[in-house]
Amino acid sequence: MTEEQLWRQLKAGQKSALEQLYRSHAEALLLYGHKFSADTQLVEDAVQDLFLELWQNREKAAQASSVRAYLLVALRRRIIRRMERQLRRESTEEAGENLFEVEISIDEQIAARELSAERRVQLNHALRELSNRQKEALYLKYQLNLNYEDICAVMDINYQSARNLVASALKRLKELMAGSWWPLFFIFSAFK
Amino acid sequence: MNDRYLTYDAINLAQDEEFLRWVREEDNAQATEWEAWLAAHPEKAEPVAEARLLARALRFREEKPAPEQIEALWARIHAATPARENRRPLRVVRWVSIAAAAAIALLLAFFFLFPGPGETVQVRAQRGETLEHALPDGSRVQLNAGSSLTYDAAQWTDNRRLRLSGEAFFEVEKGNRFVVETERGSVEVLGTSFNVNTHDGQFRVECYSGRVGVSSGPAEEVLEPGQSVALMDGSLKKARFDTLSGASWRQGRFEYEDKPLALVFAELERQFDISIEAADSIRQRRYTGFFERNSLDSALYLVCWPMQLESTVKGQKIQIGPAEGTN
Repeated sequence: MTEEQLWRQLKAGQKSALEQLYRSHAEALLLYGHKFSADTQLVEDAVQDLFLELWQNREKAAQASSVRAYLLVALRRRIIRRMERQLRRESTEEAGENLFEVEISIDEQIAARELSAERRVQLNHALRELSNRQKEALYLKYQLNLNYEDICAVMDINYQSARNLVASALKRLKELMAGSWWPLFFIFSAFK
Repeated sequence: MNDRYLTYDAINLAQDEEFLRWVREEDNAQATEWEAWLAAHPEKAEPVAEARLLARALRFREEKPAPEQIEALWARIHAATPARENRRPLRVVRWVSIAAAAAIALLLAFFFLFPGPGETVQVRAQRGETLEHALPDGSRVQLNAGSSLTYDAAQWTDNRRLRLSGEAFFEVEKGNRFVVETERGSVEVLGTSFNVNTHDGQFRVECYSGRVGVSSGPAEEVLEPGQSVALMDGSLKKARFDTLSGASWRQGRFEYEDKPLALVFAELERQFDISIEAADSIRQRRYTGFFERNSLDSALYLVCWPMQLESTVKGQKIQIGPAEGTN
């Protein structure tokens, strides 16, 4: 069944559609949510909240172009709102927008095949230095396979900013990978 | 293949959706096209190889949630999202409604649907009202607020079967079997009195007299007077209850023992036709106490005060949060 059909069934009040949506997206939502907060309870509450509201307002729910992006946006807002509320109570620190904790590294196999030990250290260091916004954009693009239109919606930024976040990270990555590996890789892939 | 790729470097390629579909091996047609294009433009081999590597190089360290965590969370969502009954179109010849406004600012509306042959009857207690309905054989039903029942009046003598959504108290005349079907299970009796509650994801049956058979999926239980059964995690859990204080909603009193506030709020919303806003952390807290239907203010006070909560009324919306001076 396509996502569009599923969405229509949801709007028609079919509980099974809600369950199917949950089952297809729960893992990605929980994983994504955890990048903003290590508090499992908070993330779970936000996911629960999201699906309750989706159910209650299903008749009004707009036809989403990408269901996953729709759910990610809604979850992101909820988590940030909850954290702001918590922070207001506990400290004066600014919450939210710049959070996104994830450790990014170079794939072990690729690194072992293509890179010297020194380059690997440099690369992983460079990846740690990326801003949280860059990390989030990379995560949405290469882990959750979102297109730029959806990334803009989720991160609430314009198209150019989304591209810039990803491109600048890729550029740094490419510089550090340059030279040592590409002819090898090309030969490898040509005879694969 | 689009000419724009001739101007693309590795960075551009690694961000291109079509290119990425090829790299992810999602689309075989795409793969053939790309390979042909690459053969025609051998100078593009380097940026393509680089872009493939860039697109596949990143690893994000994360721990996938356990299947049990996903299941447990679904159970919470499932319990809090009652499936609304799909209303079948009614074929009713005519209906008469008698509305009585009570002195306590409570509107009780009685809908009596006079059916012709083969008629589906639907009786509905709106939010903020309860109503009593006489079935064709003289059995009586009291419907709690925001509940409805449907049956075929023409078939009633042969087949005493009705569908309930919400909560109702039944006093059944002796006769052949009498079946109450709900979303989560069914109740079968001969002649008896019992209460069925399916609000907010529950399925709870209390037997007041006679014997009551309850089934939900493969699970079955027979109840004697003073016994109740509730559906928990797919199985029926039997317990005892006090028949004198049970189903007190019929007297406009709602009692709770160690129940999540979410349930209490949902009942307040139905009884007073309001909508309550409260944080999930509050909804999950457990409440022991009661409220009565005669006054919204005192009901809110009775629920909020012992929990150190406070309510603010804004038209039809009520916000409940921590009381001032606490926390």
